[in-house]
Amino acid sequence: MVAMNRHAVIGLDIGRASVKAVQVTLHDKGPRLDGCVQLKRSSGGHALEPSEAEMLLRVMERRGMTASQVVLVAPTDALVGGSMNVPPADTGVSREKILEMELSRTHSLSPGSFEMAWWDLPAPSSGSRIGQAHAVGLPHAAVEATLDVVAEYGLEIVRTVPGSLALLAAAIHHPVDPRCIAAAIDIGSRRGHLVLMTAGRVVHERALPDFDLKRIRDDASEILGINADLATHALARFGTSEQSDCMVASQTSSLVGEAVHPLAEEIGMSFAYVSHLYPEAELGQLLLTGGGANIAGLGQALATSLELDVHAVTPVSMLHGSTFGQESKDPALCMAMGAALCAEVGS
Amino acid sequence: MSGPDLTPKPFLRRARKQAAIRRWVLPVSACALAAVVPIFLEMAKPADMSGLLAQERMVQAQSRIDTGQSQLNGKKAILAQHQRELQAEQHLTAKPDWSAVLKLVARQFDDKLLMTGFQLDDMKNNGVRSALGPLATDVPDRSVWLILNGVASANSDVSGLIMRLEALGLFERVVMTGTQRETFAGNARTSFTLACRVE
Repeated sequence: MVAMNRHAVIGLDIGRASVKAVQVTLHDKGPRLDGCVQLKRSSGGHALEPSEAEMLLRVMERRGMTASQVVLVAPTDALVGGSMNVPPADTGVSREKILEMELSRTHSLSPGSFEMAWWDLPAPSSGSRIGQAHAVGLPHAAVEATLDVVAEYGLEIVRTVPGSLALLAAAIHHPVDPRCIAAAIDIGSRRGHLVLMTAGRVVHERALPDFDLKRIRDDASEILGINADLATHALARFGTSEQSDCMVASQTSSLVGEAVHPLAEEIGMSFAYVSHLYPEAELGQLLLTGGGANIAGLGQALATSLELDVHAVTPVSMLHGSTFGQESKDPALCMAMGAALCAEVGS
Repeated sequence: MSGPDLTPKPFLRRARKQAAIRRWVLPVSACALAAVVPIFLEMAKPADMSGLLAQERMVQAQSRIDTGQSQLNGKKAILAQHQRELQAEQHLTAKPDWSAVLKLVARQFDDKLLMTGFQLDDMKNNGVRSALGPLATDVPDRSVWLILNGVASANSDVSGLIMRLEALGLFERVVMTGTQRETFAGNARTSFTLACRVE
C-alpha cells in the first residue's frame, strides 16, 4: 500500500481593503483547493486586528477550512530591496552577509531588525563574472503585530513569503513558459505590484503607485452618485466597454481608459529592461491578479496596448477546474493561493 | 518546508518556546499528579476495612451521579440547539422573500435607467409618508410601500419603467410621486421617485 502524503496549508494575504485566505491540500498528485474566504477589512492598517482574525477564523471554520498551518504574504508596501551585484558563488565569501549589509545600509535598517530573502538571478547571456542577486527585506515591526494575532488564535505561521514569490508560484501553476519573460501584476486597492520572471525565478519587481484602484472606484462613486460597492460592481460589469447608449458604461470607460495608458507604459518599460538583461528570452504572458483584474476589458486594453498575451489568473485557472464557489473565480485571491502553493514550490 | 522565509526570528523563537511549554505542561502535570495522589490516599486511609468499603461505594455512587449529570447537560444543550433552529426557521419562513422581489424590480431598469436608492416600509414611517406626498392621505397606515429613486435619460424611459413594474403583477399600484431635471455625470437627466404599493 502506498502512503498518500497530504498536507493542508492556508495562504493568507492581508490587503488594505480585504483579507483573503485560501486553503490548499498538497497531495502527491498535485494541489487541491479546499476553500477560500475574502472578507472586507474594518481597519485597513498593516496589522490584522484581533476582531478581524476572529471573524476570519469563524468564516473559515464554517467553510471547512480547518488547517492550522499558515503561509503569510508579507505586506508588499513594507518590503525593501531589489537586484544587487554580488561576488560569484565560488569565491567563498558569504554573499548573504554582503546582501544583508547592503540592505541595512541603503535603507537605514539596523542589523537584526529585519529579515531577508534572496535568490541568485539567472546568468545573463553576456557571461559576466559578477553575479546578480535579488534580495528583499522585511522590517520586523511591519509584521510582528499580525503574527502575534494569528498565533494567538491557534494558527501556526510556517512561512512568510514576499508577494513576488506568491505570484511566481501562482504563475508556475497557471502555467507560464519558463523560457519566456512573463509578468504578473497584482492590482490591489491602493497600488499595483509588477513582478517579472524568467527561468522560474523572479528577476525584477516594482511598485506601481500611480494605478490607484481606490481612486478610480471613488471617482466612479462620486460621478455616478452611487456607493463604493456599486461602483466596484459597475467597473466589473462595464469597465472599458464603450456602449454609447449606457450612462454608466461611458463613465467607467473614460475613468479606466485614463488609467490604462500610464499603466501600460510602466509595464512596457519593465519588460524592455528585463528583455535587455536576457535578450535570448522571448516575451511571454502578462498575468493579471488582484481585485483590479476584475475590471471588465482591462486585460483586452493592456493586450492591445502592449501586444502581449494577457490573462487574468484565478484559483480555478491555476488548478484547472477545481471550482469552490464564486470566490474561487476571483483574481483577488490569487496572491493567497500562490502563498499556499509556496509551501509546495519551496524556493 | 524550504525556501525564502521572512518570518522574524524573534517571533519564531517565542513561538518555539511557547510550543515547547505546551508540549511539556501536560506530561509534567500528569507525573506530578501521579506522585502526589498516592501520598494523599495513604494519608487519608481509614482505620478499618468496613469504612474503606463504604467510602468506595460513596465514590462509585458519586461517579454515577456525575456521569448522569454530564449526560443530562449534553441532552439539554442539544435540546436548546434544536429549539433555536426551530425558532430561526419559524422566523425566516414567516417572512416574504424580499430579495426575489427586489431582483425582479432591478431587472426592469434597463441601460437608460439607474436606480439610486430604494426604501421599503409602511405608512407609519414619515419618510414613506413624505415620499408619497398628497397620496398619503387616502391610504391606510398598515399598507406597505416600496419607494424607488432613480435617474433616467428621458421622461419616456420612466413611463416605460412604470408600465413594466405594473405588468409584473407584484404591486397594487405604481405611481410617480416626483420628478425633476438635474445634471447627472455632466448631462441633463430626469431624476424620479416611484411609489409601489405592495399590500
